[in-house]
Amino acid sequence: MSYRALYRVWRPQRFDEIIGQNVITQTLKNALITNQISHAYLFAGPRGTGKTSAAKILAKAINCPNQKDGEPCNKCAICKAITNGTLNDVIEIDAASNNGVDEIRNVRDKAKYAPTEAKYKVYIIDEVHMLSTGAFNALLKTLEEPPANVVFILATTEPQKIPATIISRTQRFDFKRIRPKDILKQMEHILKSDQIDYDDRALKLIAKSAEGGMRDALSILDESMSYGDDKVTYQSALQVTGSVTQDLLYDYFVEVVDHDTKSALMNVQKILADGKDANRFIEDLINYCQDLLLYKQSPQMIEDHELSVFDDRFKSLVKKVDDRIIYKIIEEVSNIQQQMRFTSHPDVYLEVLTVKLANIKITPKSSDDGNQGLIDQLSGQVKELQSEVKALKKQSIASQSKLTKVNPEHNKPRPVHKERHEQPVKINLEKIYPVLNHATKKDLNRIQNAWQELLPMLKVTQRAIMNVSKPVAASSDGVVVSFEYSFLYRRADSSKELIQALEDGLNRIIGYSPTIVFVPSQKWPTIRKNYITSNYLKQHSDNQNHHNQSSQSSSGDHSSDSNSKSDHSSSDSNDKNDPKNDHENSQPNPIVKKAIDLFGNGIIDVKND
Amino acid sequence: MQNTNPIKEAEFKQPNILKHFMNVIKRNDLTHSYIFNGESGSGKLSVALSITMRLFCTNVQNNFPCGKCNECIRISRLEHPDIVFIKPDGRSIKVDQVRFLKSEFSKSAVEGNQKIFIIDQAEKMSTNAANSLLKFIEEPTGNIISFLLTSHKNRILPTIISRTQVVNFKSLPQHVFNQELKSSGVSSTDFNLIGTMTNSAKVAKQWFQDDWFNQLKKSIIRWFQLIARKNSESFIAVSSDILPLVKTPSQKRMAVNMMIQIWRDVLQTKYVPSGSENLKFPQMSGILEKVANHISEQQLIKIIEIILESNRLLSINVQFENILESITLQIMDKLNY
Repeated sequence: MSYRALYRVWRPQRFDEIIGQNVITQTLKNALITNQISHAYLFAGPRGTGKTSAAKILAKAINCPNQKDGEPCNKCAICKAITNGTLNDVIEIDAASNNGVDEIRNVRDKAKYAPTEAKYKVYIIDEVHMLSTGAFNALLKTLEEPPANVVFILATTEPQKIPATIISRTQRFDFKRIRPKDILKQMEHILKSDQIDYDDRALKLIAKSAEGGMRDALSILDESMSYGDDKVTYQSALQVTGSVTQDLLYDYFVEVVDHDTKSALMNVQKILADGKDANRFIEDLINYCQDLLLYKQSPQMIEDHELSVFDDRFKSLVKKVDDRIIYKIIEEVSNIQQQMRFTSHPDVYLEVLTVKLANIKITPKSSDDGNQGLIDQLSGQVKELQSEVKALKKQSIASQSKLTKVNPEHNKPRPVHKERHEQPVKINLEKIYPVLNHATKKDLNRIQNAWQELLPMLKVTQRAIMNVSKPVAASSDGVVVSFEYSFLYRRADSSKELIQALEDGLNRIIGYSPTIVFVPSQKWPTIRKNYITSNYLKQHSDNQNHHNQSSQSSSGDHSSDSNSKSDHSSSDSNDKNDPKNDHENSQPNPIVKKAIDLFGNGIIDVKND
Repeated sequence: MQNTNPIKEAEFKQPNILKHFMNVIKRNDLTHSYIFNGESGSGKLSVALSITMRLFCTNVQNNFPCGKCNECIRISRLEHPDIVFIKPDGRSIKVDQVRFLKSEFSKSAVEGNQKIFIIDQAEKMSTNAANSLLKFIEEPTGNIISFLLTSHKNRILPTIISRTQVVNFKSLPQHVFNQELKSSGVSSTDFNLIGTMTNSAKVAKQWFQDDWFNQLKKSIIRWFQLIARKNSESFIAVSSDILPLVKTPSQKRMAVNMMIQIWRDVLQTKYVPSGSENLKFPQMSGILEKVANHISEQQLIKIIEIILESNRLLSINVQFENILESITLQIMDKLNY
């Protein structure tokens, strides 16, 4: 006798042995005990859930003379004959190969004859969904009112293919997928009784990847056993199921969440080169996401139900990752899963998926927790802006009042800009310097990458302006953008709409909106140089010097201002509209008021030609 | 196939799986049905034949079949009466073949006491055919072992899969395949590209016999260069360069595949610049780099998705010319012409 597959050896022979279908087996047993056997049953459910087994047991239980509590004895001649498939009165028909009208007519004709040995004639029609329409219809009448002592049991995996008229004539039992927990128990039972060593993790993995089918589970178990030399090891289970280890999944997930496209891509390529199944990887990934989400809600429940083993790294990941990132990932992954079903390029899909996952995720991460967070953030911004506006108002007034005095408490270093007078282009240095103070190469790279993506988001006219721009310095909350031509610079600088669009776009791409400052490209080297020297000076001069330096530099900054008209005879017309160091205590000055009336609150260039 | 020795081929391509099965047979643990899942050319058939030989061989040495005895020779030529070998006759496995298969399933062996069924490209069975095999595969009568060979496990009925043991065949390690290619005289710059399209050196050899492969490659490269330079002549290149070369369905698939691979190279260059040995078009690295630097991630992903989509269009018989032209137009659009 050659080797027999586990699922054949361990085919249940009693209702008790059918795993995970208690409702159904109990109902059937009760029917048998009270002798209320229907003439037609329909067993539907996914593969490997015990339909055929239940049908056979039912056939035995109906006919067994020693039937006790609805269970067959499995010892009498009739039971044994049915188990071996040799009893003439229990007819198992494979509907897939006998799907024509002729075969069914044959069944119908023979059903008329009384059973020979057993009490009942039982027809088990397996894979009944494959019957042709004609065959189904030929069966209808017989199924409705069969001769006495005939029982039909129909079994199928696809009940939706069965005509409603058939279903309405039968008692329908829907077999559920078997829970991983139950599969695990059964496998442990089998292995223990066969005295085979096993690894707990391996069984859990198999139970999970069987997807609720006991036969699947036992097939995989069988194969793992033969790979592992009659032992069930985690390695052989991984190999047979084609799964990747939790560690690999963790690594991949972290790389994706950290936007480490390169490592994630290399990881995927490695996984594929190891001969892992791309589809299985996708499924594993979805499961992993599911575990993460469930674990957040209720760690206890998921450990009981899903049979996953969680280590500390997993737990720390749970804390770290935002729900919405996981949702996004699941969405993307299941999209790809759909497309991958019929492709011969699973590797390309996986790579595309990886790049997508590693990059798209940033947006949800930036906007904190839920809407409430967003609202808080926005209202905070509004408040900030309000106070800034107030400060600005005071500032412009205050500065007016101090025209003749040198600002005593200037604490920001500013380079001297002698040539400012000739330059009609004005540059907002106060905005540039904070950016430069915190500028890093990393931020600049990120912005530069985002720039290419940003441009297509703009309107055509805006894009035309921005086409000659490039970011030259960036910090974590600001960016300096240089322009090839100064007229474009002026145009850009005066367009609030453009700045708004840029900030929105950047927010979408990199997850936050930095302050955007423009400079003309021919001025940029000077600005940078000045900044460096002033920074250098700042570090090397004592406080006193520093004050002089800064106030002096500030004088050069904005020679032509809102008030320069009223006071441009003064050689050091150093009015400085710096919102950061406003003078709260200063009084409104009538001259300033007049100037504001004339020119509004903004800074205005006044040229002397 | 007739002339090569399946044992040698199996040993060369899948040494681990072969050894595993030899041990399984020794322990008498062989079950009744297997699915061998792996790309074409990964040695599925030769492993199946080797297992069969091991079972029938009269002169087993070191747990391996001898390959010389009468039985072994007849098996390797697929002439043994107890070996039933079915492969798709055209596009699918026909009803007649399945009928033959079923009748064979219910007959006992002619010479010995065991029968072997080998079904090549089992995914090409119709739903009817597959369903009618269910019962035989689950509980065969007598000593029957069946091997279902497939390259697309997903397309096989799940109820069949659950009745079998699935053995995943790794695609050939690149170096093994390269060795094979080298011996058939393929230039080393093409190894990676061919590796993505076939696992069978024999097929690759055919491509190179009439220079067809090189011509197609050149035309695709030209197409790519034109597109990369944002030159709208790329649209014309489709009908002037590519289309005349592509006739059969498998050639169409290859053309699409090359397009995918070249853009995948861009992806590779953009994100893993160090992995240049994996490039499918190494001779193009300069242009690839330039494109990779100028293209945004979203554009690139969109483009690859556009081309991947064409596979689906191909399978529902959309005209190939239309597919290529629409790909080109869409890519041009994505690149902001």
